[in-house]
Amino acid sequence: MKKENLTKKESWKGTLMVPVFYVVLIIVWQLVYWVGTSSLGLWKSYAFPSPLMVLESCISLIQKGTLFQALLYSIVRGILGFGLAIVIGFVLGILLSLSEGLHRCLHPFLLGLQTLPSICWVPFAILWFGLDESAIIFVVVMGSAFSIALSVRNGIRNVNPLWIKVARTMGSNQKQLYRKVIVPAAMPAFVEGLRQGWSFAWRALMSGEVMSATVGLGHTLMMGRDLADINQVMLIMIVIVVIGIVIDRFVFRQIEESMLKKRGL
Amino acid sequence: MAKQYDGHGGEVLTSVSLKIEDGEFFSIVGPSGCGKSTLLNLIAGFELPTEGSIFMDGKPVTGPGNDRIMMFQDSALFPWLNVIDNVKFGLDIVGCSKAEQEERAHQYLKLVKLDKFSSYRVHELSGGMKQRAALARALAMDCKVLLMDEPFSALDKQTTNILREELAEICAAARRTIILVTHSVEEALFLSDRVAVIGAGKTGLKKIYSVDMPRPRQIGSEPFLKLRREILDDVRIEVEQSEKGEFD
Repeated sequence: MKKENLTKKESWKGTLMVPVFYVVLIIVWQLVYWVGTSSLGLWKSYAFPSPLMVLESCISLIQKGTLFQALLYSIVRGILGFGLAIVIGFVLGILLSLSEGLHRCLHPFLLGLQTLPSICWVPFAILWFGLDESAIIFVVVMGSAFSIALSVRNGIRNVNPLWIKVARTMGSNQKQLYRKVIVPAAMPAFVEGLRQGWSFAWRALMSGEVMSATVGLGHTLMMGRDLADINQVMLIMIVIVVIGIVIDRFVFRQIEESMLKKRGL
Repeated sequence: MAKQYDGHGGEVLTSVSLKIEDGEFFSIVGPSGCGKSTLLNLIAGFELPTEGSIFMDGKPVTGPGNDRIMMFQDSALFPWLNVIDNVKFGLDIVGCSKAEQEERAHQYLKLVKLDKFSSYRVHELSGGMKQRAALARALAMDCKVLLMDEPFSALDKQTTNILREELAEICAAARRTIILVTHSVEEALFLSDRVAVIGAGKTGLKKIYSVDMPRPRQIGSEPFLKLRREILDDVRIEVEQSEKGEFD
């Protein structure tokens, strides 16, 4: 009985603690806005967003249909770019796993490209493709394909050598070895790589949209700047973060967790 | 079946020459680092001898093949498959029909007493059960030769004892040629028809003992203990020599 109470209390804490924290955070933010802008006059009200006005801006953008359209464009671009990055990343990753020499040569170069912020690809992309969709897709691909390639290569290379020995002692050929052992064994590493790749892709997409899109979340963000509407800027930033979290949580983490649970990890 | 081996794998083994008979339970003991696992890897075809060759049924071994199935210290079960799918793994590779896979997998799971656990996930099994599942996976292949590389050394003593007895029974039921590498002389004597001692350093094969005792063998019996002491002394001399070698 006592133990039951304890777990009940803990689960109460577990389920409500996080939402309560954010509600409190938003209330504090609103208070800081009131005190900072009207009472103390520390900031101009147009330079400091408040939760209520962000909400207002949200409602108005939904009513105008801008938010939905921007979201749709960004997500479609994200899926296209990320999809392309997955294909390129897997092909490159498999090539790197097959040749140790190729990996030794390309590894520093690919790591170097990873340190290049994706926004740095935008001028190149615009000169190459012009101001259109393919330029943004290109930036997304460059931002995430190499990270995926390195994860794929490491996933394949780190497959437990005993599993490979088992397959070989059973007489499996190269194709069976890949299909039945290496791919399933490396699957957790692949998913982890995709998850990381997605976060790179989403960031790269926003860089691309801020610089060159005519519609999309990044563009709406820049519109907020052009209109000197700090609330719209804040709103879009929040939307970008939320989309990133939602996809990470409900797509990648979901797959990862179910897979690891099956394997008892 | 004839198997002749003569050569050395790298710097590990020098001129080993032996012939293992069809249906024989053959054990290899020796001090650690003497190359007993290397010998097993050579027989399995994972490594190739630098000199000489290994023959299986008169044909030279050129690589791994499913007439010689290897078992490891770690069960090496695939965690993305459940128990029965692990047993079916090799059968699927060979191209058995689904029905035959099902039948053979059940048959061998029953033999290793895991038939009730066929839908369990690997991580739900104990260490001993994992090794039994690995044994079922290997036996289901209907291989001529089963190679075991210290299959019990990662288990606790209790489980090891039980598994040894079970292995003796299973071997009697599923008559195969078995080559066991172990560091336990007792284990080798309990199970084998012949026990080979491999010398330390580069000495290669030192001596082969025939174990002419009725089964099931009594670990405490007089002839068992006598032979055990004899082999242990042999191994000890090797260990001492190898230690001396290291100091020279």
